[in-house]
Amino acid sequence: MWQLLKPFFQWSDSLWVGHLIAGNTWAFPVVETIHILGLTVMFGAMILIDLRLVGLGMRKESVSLLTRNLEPYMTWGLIVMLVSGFLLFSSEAMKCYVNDGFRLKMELLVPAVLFQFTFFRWVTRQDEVKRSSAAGWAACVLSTVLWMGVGVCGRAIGFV
Amino acid sequence: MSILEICQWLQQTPISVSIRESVLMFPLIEGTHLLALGLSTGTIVVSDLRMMGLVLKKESASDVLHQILPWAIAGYAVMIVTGVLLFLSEPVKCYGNTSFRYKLLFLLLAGINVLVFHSTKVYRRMDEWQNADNPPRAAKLAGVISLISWGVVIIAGRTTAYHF
Repeated sequence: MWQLLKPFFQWSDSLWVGHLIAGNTWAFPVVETIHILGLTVMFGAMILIDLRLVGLGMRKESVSLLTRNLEPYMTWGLIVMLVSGFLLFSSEAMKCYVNDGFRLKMELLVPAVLFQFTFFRWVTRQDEVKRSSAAGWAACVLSTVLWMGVGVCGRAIGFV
Repeated sequence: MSILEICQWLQQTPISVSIRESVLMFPLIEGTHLLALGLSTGTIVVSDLRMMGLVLKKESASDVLHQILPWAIAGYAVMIVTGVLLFLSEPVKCYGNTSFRYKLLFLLLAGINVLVFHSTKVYRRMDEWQNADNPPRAAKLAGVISLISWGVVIIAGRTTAYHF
């Protein structure tokens, strides 16, 4: 599976923007910091929606109202992370190719993003009365596990 | 005893040595620190935005703030514990690190901001404006200072790992 993607890694590795980042002392830390700021905004908004889905927090607001208000922050946080993440990746794509932390991160990121825009979106936009608590719990637990996994594996890239 | 000497003393305590010499400890503690960041600072961002009147505008400011607070505090506790452990593993390096000093400074600013805002009339009489279209200037200011100081804490925290 990863073998098939090797040309994509090689292409990313050869991008000028990656060389620019790799060749500059400040660029990587700056982009990495933006990546973490995006994470903070996205996780914060998502955690509050997750807590509301299972009735552990923000109970005075409905799920749909909370989602309407916080979803833009979640989406923009994610966009910032994806863009900054790709830039970081392009500066060391071939290093990432052989990094188990990176591979696991991607194996969690793809389902996490798909989940976010399908099941999670569907559950959080459902009518309050029609939403089953099982669906709420599933959305909360799965999004938490997937995204926390992405975060932890991301942190692991620098260590493995 | 100077601060540097205290850091040098901390550096040779068993807990410092054991975190430093373990392969897994530092990454695991740092991973936990990062997840707690999402829980604590992430939810603080939402409450700051509410204080500024930018999100959940139609919901009572006091309700939003007080529902977020327990989770922000829980995340904060985890951040403090893991942060202290990370510091303990390399206190001398942190001592000489400019980013780390900025981080502490802005952490202090964030704390002072909370203390000051919570002692103002605007905070104590939130019931008078909690449903207002436009929050009082003091609330907006507290939100902005919090956003900026936490932002700098994150930036400085991330750059602590690099030597410029």
